[in-house]
Amino acid sequence: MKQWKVHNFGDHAILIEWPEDLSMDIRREILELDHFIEEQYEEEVLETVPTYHSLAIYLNMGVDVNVFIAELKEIDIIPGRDISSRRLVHIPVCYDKEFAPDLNIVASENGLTDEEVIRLHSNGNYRVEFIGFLPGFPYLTGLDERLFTPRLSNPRPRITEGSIGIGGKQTGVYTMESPGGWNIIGRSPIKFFSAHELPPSLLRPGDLVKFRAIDRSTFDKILIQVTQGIYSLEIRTHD
Amino acid sequence: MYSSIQDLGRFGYRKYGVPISGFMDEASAVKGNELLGNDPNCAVLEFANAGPKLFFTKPAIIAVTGASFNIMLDGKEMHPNRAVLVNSNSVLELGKAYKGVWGYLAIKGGIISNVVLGSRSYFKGLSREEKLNKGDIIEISTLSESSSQEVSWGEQLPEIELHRTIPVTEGPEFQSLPMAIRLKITDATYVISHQSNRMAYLLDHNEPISAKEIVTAPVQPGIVQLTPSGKMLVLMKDAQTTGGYSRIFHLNERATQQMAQLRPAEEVRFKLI
Repeated sequence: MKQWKVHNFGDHAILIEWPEDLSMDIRREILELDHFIEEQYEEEVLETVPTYHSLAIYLNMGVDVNVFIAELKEIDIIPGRDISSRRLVHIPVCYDKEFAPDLNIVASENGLTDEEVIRLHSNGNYRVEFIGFLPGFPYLTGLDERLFTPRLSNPRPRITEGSIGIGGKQTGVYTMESPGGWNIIGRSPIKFFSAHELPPSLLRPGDLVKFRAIDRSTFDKILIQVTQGIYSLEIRTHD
Repeated sequence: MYSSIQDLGRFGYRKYGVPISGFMDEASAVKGNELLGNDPNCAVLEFANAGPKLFFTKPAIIAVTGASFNIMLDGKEMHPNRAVLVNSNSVLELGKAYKGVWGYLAIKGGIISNVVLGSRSYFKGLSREEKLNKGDIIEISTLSESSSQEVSWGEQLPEIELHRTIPVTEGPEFQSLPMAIRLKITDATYVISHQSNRMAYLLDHNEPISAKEIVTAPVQPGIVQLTPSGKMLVLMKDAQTTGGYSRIFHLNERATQQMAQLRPAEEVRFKLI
């Protein structure tokens, strides 16, 4: 049975909402419906934004929202097509003290040593649910619950690009310099967003992500390669 | 003073977390372009509260629209809301706004600047600059022989109108608020905070109102968010693409532009339609 509901979202957009349980089936269905709508309604749809349990559909000028809603309500089953990304992206992360001002907070909050935090974080398997907050910023699921740590009570005014953080039950990467309240536990030397590439975001919804611990000299080496445009990131396809 | 280059905005990249940006008061900016026979998407100079002083190194046809400013061209008062010919070596001075916030300087042929992801709109981290600074050089189109014929000379647009009661519709979380809160947020008078910017307008109030955080979901300019600590935010053009606060009201595009022209310390009310 169809689990989603279609609503108006302001004057010129539509919001499709699923129940709040974040089962894998629902998370896959959101991306499938997103893909289907973008392909099927290219003329009507300006752009879409998928999130944990909703999908926003922004319409082109001149499209009658109510007529389009009626059309979307007719969709019962998404024509079965496997659109899962199949990409497994290995992100190098240096967890050295210099890049990890809050590593000890995450450790003490959870009764762990710094080394255990690094091991648990870099052993995890994560999935990109969607991109939001900042250009290219991935919302990842899959953080080990032994690493859950409340956000800082006083957010920092400036967090360096590439910083890896833990905020509550989530982990993620600050893909651009920004203010932020997550606990910073490391830094990646790679570029997550480039306006000159299409798509501009390295990570895409549905991607699987692993963090690979690197030492300081490897960080420096990769950073130079990234700056020179000769670094090639490890992206595998999986079944 | 905050000046930047803006056009209609950056579309097609919200899925990758890129805000749409673009004119805060689109109606006023587009009218300026129309007076000059420009495409509505032509890049214009946008300034808040006070305008810049500009030196023209070549002739141009310009129009100032949006908020009301004292405008001086070569030491003489200049009319807003109409096309004006500016000579080479002229000095244009835009003073403080005395009505509204956002002003626009449209230039025949538009401003020529970097296009990033399909738009010239400035946005931190995307465009090379975040805002215009003293000493910056802005490249503009050179007038051609036919330029003048495309301009609506003599047409005078009306001054902007300010609206202090803003029409709103229910946001996705409105119905899940307790009845008492729904009544309070609909009846309250809010004051626009000085901490308002192109991302969001913060509204001050004395009401005992608050709403739960939500699972991160899509947001767009015109959404009004209510936080667990009781902060009210009206999202503007540089707003994030997703957010975790309750979305209680929705302003349509026109209403969002009207809201944008209200100044800090001014009062505003919402009317549910």
